[in-house]
Amino acid sequence: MVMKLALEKNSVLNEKYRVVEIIEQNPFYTTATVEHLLLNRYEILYLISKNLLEKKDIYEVFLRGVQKFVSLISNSIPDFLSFGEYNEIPFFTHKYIAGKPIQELLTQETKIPREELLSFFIELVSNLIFFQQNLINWEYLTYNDVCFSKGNLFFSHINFARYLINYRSQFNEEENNWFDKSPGLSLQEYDFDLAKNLFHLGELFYEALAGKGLVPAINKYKKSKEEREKLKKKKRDLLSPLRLNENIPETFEIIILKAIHPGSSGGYNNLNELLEDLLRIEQGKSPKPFLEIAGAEGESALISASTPSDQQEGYTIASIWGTQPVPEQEPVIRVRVRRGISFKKMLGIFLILCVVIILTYAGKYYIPLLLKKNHPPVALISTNITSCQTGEEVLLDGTKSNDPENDLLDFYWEIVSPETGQVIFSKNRTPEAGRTKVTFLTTGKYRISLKVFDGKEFSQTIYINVDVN
Amino acid sequence: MQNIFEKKLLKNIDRVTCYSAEQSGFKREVLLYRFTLFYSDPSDVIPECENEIKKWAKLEHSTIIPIIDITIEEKEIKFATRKPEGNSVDSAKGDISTIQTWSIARSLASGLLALHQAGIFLGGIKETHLFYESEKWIRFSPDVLGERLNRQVEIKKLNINVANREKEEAIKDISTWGCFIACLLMGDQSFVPLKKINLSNQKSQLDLEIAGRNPEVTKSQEEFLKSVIFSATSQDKKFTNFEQIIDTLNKEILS
Repeated sequence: MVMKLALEKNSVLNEKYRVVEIIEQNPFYTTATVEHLLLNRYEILYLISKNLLEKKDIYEVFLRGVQKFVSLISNSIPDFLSFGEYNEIPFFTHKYIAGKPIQELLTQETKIPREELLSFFIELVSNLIFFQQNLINWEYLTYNDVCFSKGNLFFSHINFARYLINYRSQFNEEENNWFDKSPGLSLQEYDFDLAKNLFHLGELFYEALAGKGLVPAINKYKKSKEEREKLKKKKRDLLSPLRLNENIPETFEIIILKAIHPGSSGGYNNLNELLEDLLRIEQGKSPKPFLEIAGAEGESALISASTPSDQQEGYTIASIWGTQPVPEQEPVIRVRVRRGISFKKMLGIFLILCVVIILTYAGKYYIPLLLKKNHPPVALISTNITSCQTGEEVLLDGTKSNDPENDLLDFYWEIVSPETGQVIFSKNRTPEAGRTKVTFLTTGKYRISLKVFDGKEFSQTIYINVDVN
Repeated sequence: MQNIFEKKLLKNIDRVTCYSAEQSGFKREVLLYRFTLFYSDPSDVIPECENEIKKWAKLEHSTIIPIIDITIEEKEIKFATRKPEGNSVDSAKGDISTIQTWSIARSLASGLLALHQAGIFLGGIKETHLFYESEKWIRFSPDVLGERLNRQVEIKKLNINVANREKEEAIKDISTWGCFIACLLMGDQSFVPLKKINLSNQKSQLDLEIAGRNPEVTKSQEEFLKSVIFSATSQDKKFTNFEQIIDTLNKEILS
């Protein structure tokens, strides 16, 4: 059980610290706001519990967690100060952060103007990336965990304390024991925390921009069972592009949707992707759209799940659309747009039903999808030859052809005979055909044409003329 | 001072000796400063020195390296600070980009504002006062506090009235801040302290062509820095405190 610690209000430790307020007691340590009597300043003190101290191996791991934090130099971590002993029990202190929680500042619009939120988000995500590079994941991230003090963004001690608890163990309710698990996070737990980080960031962005909680919005977004039943009767209503909140700019809505679907198809896989999108907005560009189908009119789509892990929610799904082959060894996720629905001439954000079947496991997911207009590809021949000799091998290079959506292209080469006007060469429908070799056996003026196909539309045909002597 | 153990003598700054030390428990290297009065010094100066350290310890600004712990004895004060990681500004100078320099400018200005608000006027910043930690953040070296303690003793010994000097020292901080930023922008290998610029000589002003040396600097930014640097001598004294400088930086120079 939790042992009571000998730390009371107004008690003095080592003649140096006076306890101002006890913040929290848990089986590992007691935290308190203390006053450093010689320096007349407040600090946050952690007094290790005897309980933890007696478990030497666990204590060692706990201490390593503290040392890891101490070794990080960052403007967003409170500075660590003293390490000492009180009645042979170790304690340590870090700087007291006098800043206000971000939640208070965001609700008072004058404190953090809306236009400054973007730079705040960028700083927040950059800091989180810094922590992750040092293998530190905050399990939860809420407004209260972040605060501003003297123009700096800080992660509060609450977060740090939570990290330390998670660093070592979890409570086993059956045995009433906090020390049953081997300390440290497994890789799976780490990935799961990463997904939670992303979700909570999406939540935080939403709250900052919309001024209210995200969960009711998600429920509305996902629609309740009753609502869905009603909508079944009006199938077309489901196709109306959905908005989370009218106050949130569309660019941010995409970021939020990608963040609250971490690891899913189209969602963020890591914080770097999120930061990249935020920086794109800063540069006046749109974030990369999440799951998108370009002009897939009325088609069901196939997604290849490339992840080996189906037990965690944070798995990754790579999307393969249209006519591309699905590798046999990979599990297949069939995405079925609701019956009778056609995407024809409708653009915007949709929820699509994703039925996941991996071996015996099946689950349903709603994935946000951005349906956008397909743009035709552009054919380009980069072969400069205008004349050649009979029997000479000529390289035709169409690999500079491109597609605005970066779809894979099929190549349609045609060489028209000068005498008959008939097609005498055609090599097509393989992406490898972008570069091909031909040999002219008779003299004359030949017209070589190329058009490319992105799976939905053809490009315009382009021509070059070659004189064969 | 629990759990802090002297390891190696690093330097002497008059009455202050600086050691590298180990803070066990945290297993990190810290700096330990021992301030010991000379025989000829008045021993009743210790409370003033204590106050100076307290002022420093209370400062909550990213440019201030925190004081970890302190012990006060009759003729000696020991205090420990975190050890700044990385290089001094001097050695990092060539690698600091224009964008980074403006970020340093803003951070350093707000740090100096925090010092001034706490009643600490340096009377001109020096190259040795500054650290460029992890190639990201500008910090005041804890040596500055060592110098301040020596200064306290001199003030006491010579019975100097510092109140009259504060305004002048604040202006020197402003001018040297401008000099420092100008040097970073011009990519000068050595910091040009204010004394090296002959302020009474108009020609020196003309020599300070920041925009000419760095095409990323605009003429208005150059004019701003010039008026900051020559605040000490110009008649109109355009900038007399760091609030004005930060305000101008935010609204006009970097907007």
